[in-house]
Amino acid sequence: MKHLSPDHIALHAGGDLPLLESLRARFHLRRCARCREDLAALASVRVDLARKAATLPADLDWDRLESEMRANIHLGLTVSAIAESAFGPAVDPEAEAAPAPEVKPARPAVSRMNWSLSSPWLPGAAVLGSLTLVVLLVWLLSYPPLSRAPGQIADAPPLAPVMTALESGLEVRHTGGALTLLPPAAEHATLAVDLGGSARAEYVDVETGQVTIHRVFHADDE
Amino acid sequence: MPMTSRWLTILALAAPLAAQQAALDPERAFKVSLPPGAPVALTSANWDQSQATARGGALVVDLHSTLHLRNESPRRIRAISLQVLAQEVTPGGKGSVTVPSLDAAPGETFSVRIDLRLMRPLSRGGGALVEVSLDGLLFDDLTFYGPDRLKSRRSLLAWELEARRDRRLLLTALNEGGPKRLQEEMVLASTRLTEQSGVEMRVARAAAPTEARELAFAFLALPGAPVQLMRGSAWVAPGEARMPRIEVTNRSARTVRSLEIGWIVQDTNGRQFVAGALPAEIEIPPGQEALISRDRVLRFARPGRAGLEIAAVSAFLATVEFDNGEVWVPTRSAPALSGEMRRLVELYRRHGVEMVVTQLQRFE
Repeated sequence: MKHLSPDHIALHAGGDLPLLESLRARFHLRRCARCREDLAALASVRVDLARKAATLPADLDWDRLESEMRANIHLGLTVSAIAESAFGPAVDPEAEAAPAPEVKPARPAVSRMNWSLSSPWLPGAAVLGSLTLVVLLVWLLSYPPLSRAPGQIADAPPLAPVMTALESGLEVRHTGGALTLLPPAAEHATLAVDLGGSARAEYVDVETGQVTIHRVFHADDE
Repeated sequence: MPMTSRWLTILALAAPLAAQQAALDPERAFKVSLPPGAPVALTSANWDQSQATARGGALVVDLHSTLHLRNESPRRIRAISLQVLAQEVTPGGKGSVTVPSLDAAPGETFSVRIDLRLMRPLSRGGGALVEVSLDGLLFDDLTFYGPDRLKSRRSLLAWELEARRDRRLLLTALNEGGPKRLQEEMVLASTRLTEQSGVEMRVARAAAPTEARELAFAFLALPGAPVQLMRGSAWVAPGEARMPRIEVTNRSARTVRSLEIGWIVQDTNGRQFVAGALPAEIEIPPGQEALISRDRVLRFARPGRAGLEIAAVSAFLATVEFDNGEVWVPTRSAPALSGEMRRLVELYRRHGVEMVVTQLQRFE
């Protein structure tokens, strides 16, 4: 069975495939456990990253961030140039292995890492690069919302207390802290917000059969 | 990309999200306060499943516990409301956990489950302290005990009255049409319960006005309502409604101390859901009019679906509290299902109509 390409799975996870492609992907996913697992893994990471991205401060200086990133790229290129001047340019191993029409004088025997596209180092480098990026992202977005679905509800002014009613819990968020009442094991939650400034959820606990009502609010809004 | 590299990449992306977890010291992290001489006593509270997790620059504290409380009073307890405070994490932020539809006899033990999550910056010192305290409880004779800081009395009383009303309506159906008629009522309620799920909401102080249009409220007339909703409107934009204003008249012979108006939102596909409430602590003498308005914005969303377009808003009178402490609830089922009805629907779904009959007869 031909599996979906990683690109297709990523686009499908984000709902970005064209209709026909999407239908084909869905048809394949129904029959292919391996692709389903890949999709689930991507979707999980995607949701976590989106949650963190949703908490970017409103006043984030994108120009400054861009210039820092450019500076880092320049630094990387400079280091690369220094390494190349010391160790010589990188060589494709396949080109090295192929029969050469003419033999050039050998360079001094200096050990070096080979970074060509088919290098065995590539998976490790990809992992290290991804890890660094994600750690940086997690560090930047240090206050992840606990339960908000990605991009669903626009934010209020950053310093105002906000009460949110989600299927995954009720949250009061203020000045960098958050208190979330988590739902009991229940099939349906009835969510409501009250314009006095509170959020409310009613559950019927499937374990105990009890009705449980959660509410969050803020003293400033009473 | 080979399979191994693909998995390595996925693992690399997921690895930093895995957290460093640590157990919490229950003595430091949690406190349960009950006033001396309270009609309930804490018999046990197990916080063993609680833990703290460092995530990025934040500390996430998950608290899970079941409080076991014993009724120390000579009366049956019908409902209890507990206040949850985490002053160090969210100054001013509060939560409450309420269990209505209880029936705890004198000396009987009942449980209240508390699951919550706190998040605060790692840079903030000290441990997370959660204090759970009694806000109020309601006895079967409708008397109330507790400090009532969160205005629990009115809510508990309204829920208990709604529960009695719904049980009475179902008992009437049972007596008039037998179990078949009761079953029809439960199926109808079950459908309404499913329709009300799936919309998520947020409320905050209204920020700078966005492009919005004014939409007039349609009012649902409920027989016997002591307060009449006269006219009103709200500003709506895609996915949000803000700054509602409703004019009301007190038609009763008693002074109104507070009232709550329920909101129903209809989207462009004709789907309706109970979105929330507009409460008001407002004194309205008999025959007088009053304006109820709030400078708040409500935002709605359906996870995984396109933005919610509001086509219509309607409102109904949900509760009224008079100056003598009495509470009015609609005499027949309001658009929102009561908590008791939800409980009975779940019983019906899991155990069938016989269990509902048993419950109705128990409370009769």
